[in-house]
Amino acid sequence: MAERYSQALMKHFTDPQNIGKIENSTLAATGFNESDGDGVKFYLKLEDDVLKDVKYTIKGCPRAIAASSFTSQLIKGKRIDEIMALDEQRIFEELGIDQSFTCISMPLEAVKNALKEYTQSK
Amino acid sequence: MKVYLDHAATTPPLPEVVNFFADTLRDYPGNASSLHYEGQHSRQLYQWAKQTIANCIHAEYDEIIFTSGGTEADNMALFGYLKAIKTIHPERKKVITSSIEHEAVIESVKELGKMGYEIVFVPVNNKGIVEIDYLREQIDENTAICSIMFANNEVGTIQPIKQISERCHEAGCVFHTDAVQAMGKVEQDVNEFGIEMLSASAHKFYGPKGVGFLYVKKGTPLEPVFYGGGHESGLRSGTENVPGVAAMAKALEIVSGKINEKRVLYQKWSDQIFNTCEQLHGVQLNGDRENRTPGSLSLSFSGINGEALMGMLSMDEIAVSTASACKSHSHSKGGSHVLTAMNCPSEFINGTIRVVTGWDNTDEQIDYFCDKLKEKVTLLRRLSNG
Repeated sequence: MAERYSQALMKHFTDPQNIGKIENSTLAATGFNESDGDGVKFYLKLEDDVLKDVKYTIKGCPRAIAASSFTSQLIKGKRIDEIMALDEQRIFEELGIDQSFTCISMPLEAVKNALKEYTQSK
Repeated sequence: MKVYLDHAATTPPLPEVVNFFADTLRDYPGNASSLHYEGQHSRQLYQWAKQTIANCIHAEYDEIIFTSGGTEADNMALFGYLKAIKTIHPERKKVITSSIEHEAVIESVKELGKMGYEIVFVPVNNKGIVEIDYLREQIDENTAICSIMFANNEVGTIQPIKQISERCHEAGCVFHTDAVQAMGKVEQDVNEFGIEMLSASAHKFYGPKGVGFLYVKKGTPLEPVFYGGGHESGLRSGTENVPGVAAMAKALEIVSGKINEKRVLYQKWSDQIFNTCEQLHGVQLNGDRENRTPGSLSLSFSGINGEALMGMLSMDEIAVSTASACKSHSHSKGGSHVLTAMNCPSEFINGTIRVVTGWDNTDEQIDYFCDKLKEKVTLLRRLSNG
């Protein structure tokens, strides 16, 4: 485990932040892996294009749980344009994981896709 | 409290085996092929080891070939036998195996396929038992060898070995079994089961890693797969690993004498673990509930990821294994080929852990594991439900 899971990843995996749902969320963002049923669902509460609150539910591997936790911390309080400008590379670096694991980038991609649709539909 | 429940991956060597290994490493420094007194001293121990192992499986002394482990034994059986009969039986070009074999057999037969052999992977039912009627049909006069594992490494299901070997003999083909998971857990009698070749690995029965053996019934043609000084009657060159084979023999001698006693204990623990799972709901036991290696449980949990459960348990120093882990380069899973072959739904495969009890476990450890299992499954389900 020491080789495959960094300390930072273990911290988020064993104590994931911002878990839960938001009843009156502005929109939801889902990332899903059809092959095995793993997935994440973010609840985003926006006010004046600023992400005031974020929560999520997740069924996934330790990497996906840690990445969702870190992503939620990373995006909370930011403006939509700031979130859209975020680079997935930062999550890989923070969690010390090989870039080839797409379960790490899935949460931020899901949020970005939902925000893109949201801004286009406004 | 550390709780090791991954005894199908490897077993911790028994203390008496560790001591025996250390003693022989120190006290038997000679090359067992040397003719001087030191070499002959080592030779005697090597001969004791071979006879002890032969006795444990009801074989004869010169039917045992020492190897570096199960993978080498499987390769030797398949490639060595086919090489030996190539000119005697050129018409026998068919190799039959099951869809749930260990990679040591699966990858070997794939290689044989590239060499021109016809490969047949026999499917299994939802309990992980080979479709015996299909297997019977497939074994014919063109079949060279049929290799079916004795017990599966993921779900523990034991195959109908005697029925398979009988069909092989009717068709005049040789039967090999990878008995790596069964050795030391299930009584082995190569004559009773009608086995021509059998692979085993010491570290699965509380012996050292890097040593195993292949049983080859007298009269079964076999050629070496690599060459050198002609050790093991020319079939497996390389200086004899005297401390390794001696420790392996010691381990097998000890565990073979306690198979029934351990079966009762493991059944009690398996029942306790399974009862805990039933309280959790949404849990499936994979494989055959009765016809399995004692102590082996493959458990699938709905609504959670098996790797996450393994990771959570590991944080509390509980070691289990998972049937599925993310592969790099995609989010697709390195899912279990065994559970896939058993038609287990992908969501269950994704939520599977393997729990295998062993000699070093205690009642207190199983109580602790059951408590932690409930806690971690509940926690992970909470993450997915919010």
